[in-house]
Amino acid sequence: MFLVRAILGVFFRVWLVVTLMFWAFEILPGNTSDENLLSGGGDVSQEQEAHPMVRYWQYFSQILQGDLGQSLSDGQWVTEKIAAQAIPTIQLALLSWVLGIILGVVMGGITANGGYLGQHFLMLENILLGIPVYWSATILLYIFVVLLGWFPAGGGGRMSQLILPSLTLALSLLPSVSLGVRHALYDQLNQNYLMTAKGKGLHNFRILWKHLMPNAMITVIPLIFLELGFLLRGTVLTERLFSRPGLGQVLLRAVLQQDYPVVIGGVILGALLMNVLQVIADLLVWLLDPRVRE
Amino acid sequence: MKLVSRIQQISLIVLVIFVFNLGTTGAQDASTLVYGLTLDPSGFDPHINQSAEIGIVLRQVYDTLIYRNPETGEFVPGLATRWEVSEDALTYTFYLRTDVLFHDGTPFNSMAVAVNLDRIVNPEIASQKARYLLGNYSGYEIVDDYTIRLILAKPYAPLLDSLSQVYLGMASPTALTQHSTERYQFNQVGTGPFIFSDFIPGDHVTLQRNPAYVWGPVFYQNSSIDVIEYRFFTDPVARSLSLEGGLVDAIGEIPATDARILAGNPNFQLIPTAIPGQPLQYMMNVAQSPTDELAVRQALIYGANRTLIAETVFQGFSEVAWGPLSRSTLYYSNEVVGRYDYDLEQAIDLLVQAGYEDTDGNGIRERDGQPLTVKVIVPSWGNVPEVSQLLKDQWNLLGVETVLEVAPTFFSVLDAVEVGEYNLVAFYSFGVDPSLLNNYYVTDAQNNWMNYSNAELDQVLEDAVRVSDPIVRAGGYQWAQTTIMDEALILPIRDYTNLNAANQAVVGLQFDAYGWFPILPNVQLDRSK
Amino acid sequence: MKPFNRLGWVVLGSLLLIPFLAPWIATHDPYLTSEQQFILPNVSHWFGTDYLGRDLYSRFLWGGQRTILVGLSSTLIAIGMGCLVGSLGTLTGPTVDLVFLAVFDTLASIPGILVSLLILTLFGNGISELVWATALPQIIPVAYVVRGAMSSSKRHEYVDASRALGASNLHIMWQHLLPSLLNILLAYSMSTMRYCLMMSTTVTFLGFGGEPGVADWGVMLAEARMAFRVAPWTSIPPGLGMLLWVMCLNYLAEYLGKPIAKLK
Repeated sequence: MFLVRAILGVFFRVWLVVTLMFWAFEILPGNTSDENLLSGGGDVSQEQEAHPMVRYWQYFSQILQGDLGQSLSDGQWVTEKIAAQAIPTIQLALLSWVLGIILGVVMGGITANGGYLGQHFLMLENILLGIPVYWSATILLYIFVVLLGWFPAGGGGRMSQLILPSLTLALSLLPSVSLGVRHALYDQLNQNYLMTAKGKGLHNFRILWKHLMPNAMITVIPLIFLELGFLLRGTVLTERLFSRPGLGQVLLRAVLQQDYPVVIGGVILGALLMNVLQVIADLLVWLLDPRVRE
Repeated sequence: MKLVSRIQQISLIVLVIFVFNLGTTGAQDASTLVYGLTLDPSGFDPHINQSAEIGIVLRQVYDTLIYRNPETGEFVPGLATRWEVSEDALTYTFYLRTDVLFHDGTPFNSMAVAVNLDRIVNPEIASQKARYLLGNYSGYEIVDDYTIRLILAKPYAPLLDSLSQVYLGMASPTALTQHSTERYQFNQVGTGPFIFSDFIPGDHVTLQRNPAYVWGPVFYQNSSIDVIEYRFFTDPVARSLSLEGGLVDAIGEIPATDARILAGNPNFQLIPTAIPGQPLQYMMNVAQSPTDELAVRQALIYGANRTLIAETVFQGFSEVAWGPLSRSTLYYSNEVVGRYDYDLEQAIDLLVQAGYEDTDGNGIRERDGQPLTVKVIVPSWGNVPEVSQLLKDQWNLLGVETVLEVAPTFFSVLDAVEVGEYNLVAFYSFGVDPSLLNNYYVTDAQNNWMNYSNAELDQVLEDAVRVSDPIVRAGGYQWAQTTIMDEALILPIRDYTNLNAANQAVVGLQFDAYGWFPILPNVQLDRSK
Repeated sequence: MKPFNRLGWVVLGSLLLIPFLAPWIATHDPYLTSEQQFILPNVSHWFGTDYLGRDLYSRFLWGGQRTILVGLSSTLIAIGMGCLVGSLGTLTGPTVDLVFLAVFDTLASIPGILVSLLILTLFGNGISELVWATALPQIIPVAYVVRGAMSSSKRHEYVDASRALGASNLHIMWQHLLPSLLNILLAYSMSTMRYCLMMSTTVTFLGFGGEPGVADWGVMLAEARMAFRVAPWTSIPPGLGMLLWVMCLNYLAEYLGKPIAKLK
């Protein structure tokens, strides 16, 4: 039942996005109002006379059939355009995500533990939180590419070109994961079962990793999935900075060129993705946490 | 533990996706050349789009009826073996090769040429350049399978020049009818030394050698390259790094500061190439105050320290431009050199005489209560933003307030021009024949962004394209160039020099007469270097 | 528990306000170009010069002013409008609230940077458009927090009681709900400002939100990036400035937020 409700929720929200997009561009000034929103062609005079609701219906049914229209700049089908560039972005996002989570969990544990190490890692976490991704990209590029020559400067298609951008993105993801993990761990401390473990006389550190962490992780799961969504945004800038092909570049170009069908397509797909991720996150929590099921 | 296994699952998926797409780039491969593109144009169709970038790729895919010999500049046979021009210069007869096949097997003949011409002049495709290259073209006449006549409404001397440009390359009629106008750019079919194989906008274009190619112009050699892979490097910072990192074999538009570094590196060759055509310039809108006054326009030019700009932004790789044409263009006239050289006092003098004084002490001059403000449309490419910042600061010394409006794409430039509230717009275009001036200076011309109208100049420019006598044309263009500068219609900045660089494995890289386009069939790859 | 004691942070914080002293302590005009490109820090140019020969120290100061002001104003707008929007749902009843929630969710799923860039390409490239473009994506998260704070049952009791006494919606909001919101908002506004700073500099880094070459930390970072092969030190002043500001905001956010259970 929960699943059904969740999926319905996704549909409802995506429908809302689709509708909002339509009305937003209706209201906006500019050349979007006199052409069919999703394609460059069509009989212009007819479109203009059609009632907005009619146009909305056309637009909506078109999308339901999986047709997001054609790009204004080169006539390519929006779906094709996005699909062609999806893989490099997915590679980048996934690798950064995994790296960021692993490093973030570790750092969260260390900072929660406190002590000498924890304090300094806390400082580090703060620093990482404050470094904008375009700055870290420049610095990392300088160190690893110019000075050390370990990695290539950009492009896609090879593994070695993936490492530096992923590292950069992971570094911007890492602090928020660490923060979340630490707060989740702090929350755990208020639970009663901790008293039992302490009663057994176990060392702080072991308590942390063996008992607290798994439960904390469950709380952190929604955050992690949300971060994946944000990561996909982060790829916009990172792809630019490392000359990597990908969806980020496609969308950036589309916004600059006012290629609305592509922008709308990107937004709709992005919303779909975020909502699906949300559902998956909720599902995972439900599966993993026996308490929630009751 | 569930979480650990979940992480393992995710890692597995990630690994699978990588393995799936571990495609290698061809760099360092013995017979694959990786060439860097630097601009991501909004379209890749030679008949439609005007960007020079697409020619870097498509010059290898299409042949043209005639070619310009890169060394002598003379016209040599291409798809046409010879041609005749009628007495009245209204009819050009082309005798075509009979042994040419398109990459899809369609035979090349006069019918094919006809289909291409029809497509270019069709208003539905909205050609940005090809149509205008044809000038006064009015139609064709097919004499027989391999003879075709092009008919002009009025004599048009630059026709041969146009026909040698990639924008008038010959495409397969079968492919043209098979794909829609928008889709053709993804499925291009020509007759050239390389076959268009794969294209993902913004990512790469792949060309494969055409083994059947034996009909190239005399200066083409037999290529040893099997595959050309073009990759996009729109971020200037990445270009020299990618070259040095072995990601690309050759690339143009290296930033001037990086070019200095490459020039000192023996593992690489720096190949600066002069590009004929219009220099980077700011066109002045004479229909908008205050650039409607000659004195103000002159003052702006006198007040621009162009030597400093050439040193700072272009690191001395480009020469200062003095007129509407760059040095390497046909019929360039020396008369304009040194005019309006940097003279701050003269500039201030002009403004004072025109009645502009700084009455309220804020650093900006006024007249009748109106401050002296100029608004500039600044395209975001070609170092224009940097040059504009320097100009803004230099004009500050004159007491002129400058407002910069950035236009991120070609279309946004057009949009801003249409709105009309600008004083200067930066732009440049390329070509060997100065007939390109007509598009900008003739009254009511498509790109007459200066809103300038001078009947005498119109006459001279139109006459110059009508006659083919070089002496007459030279005279006409000399007059035109000096008049344009007399009227201070433009602020010329620099002659365009494309900073190309390649690693030492690339042997024999040279560029055609138009400067932009590498002649890749002549390149040999020597990976031992 | 922090490595620096509180005093240390306060001092650091006031150091960060130095950019606002620019009119008095800057040595050059931040827009003055010269032929001395890429000079290393020396007596006349304390931070050196950039690729157009402009003094980096003065650019850093004036740029900091602009960047911080943009961040501040967009934060204020985001908080203000977020409060308005967030409280609407609570005050008008459960069904409307549900719709609002759905709308919030959907708007939040649109990538913030796309929204910002869209606004700038459609409405113009000036500083006020930049402020709005940065503020807009943050209004929904603020609204969420506000809504969350308001919909705890305590509040509803207040509301019901006041309604019973005949008070208007506006009166309820003003008298009862706002004061308790302030605490939460204060802490949250720090992270909002952090986001606004990052977002606005990302946008200016890409070349929007102002004229080319405007003194702004994002622009300075973009310029430093272009030149980093010949002058890598030029990225340090703006980068460090951003970093210190954000770190300060983080500290304030944690300090102002609810106290956290200690581990030991």
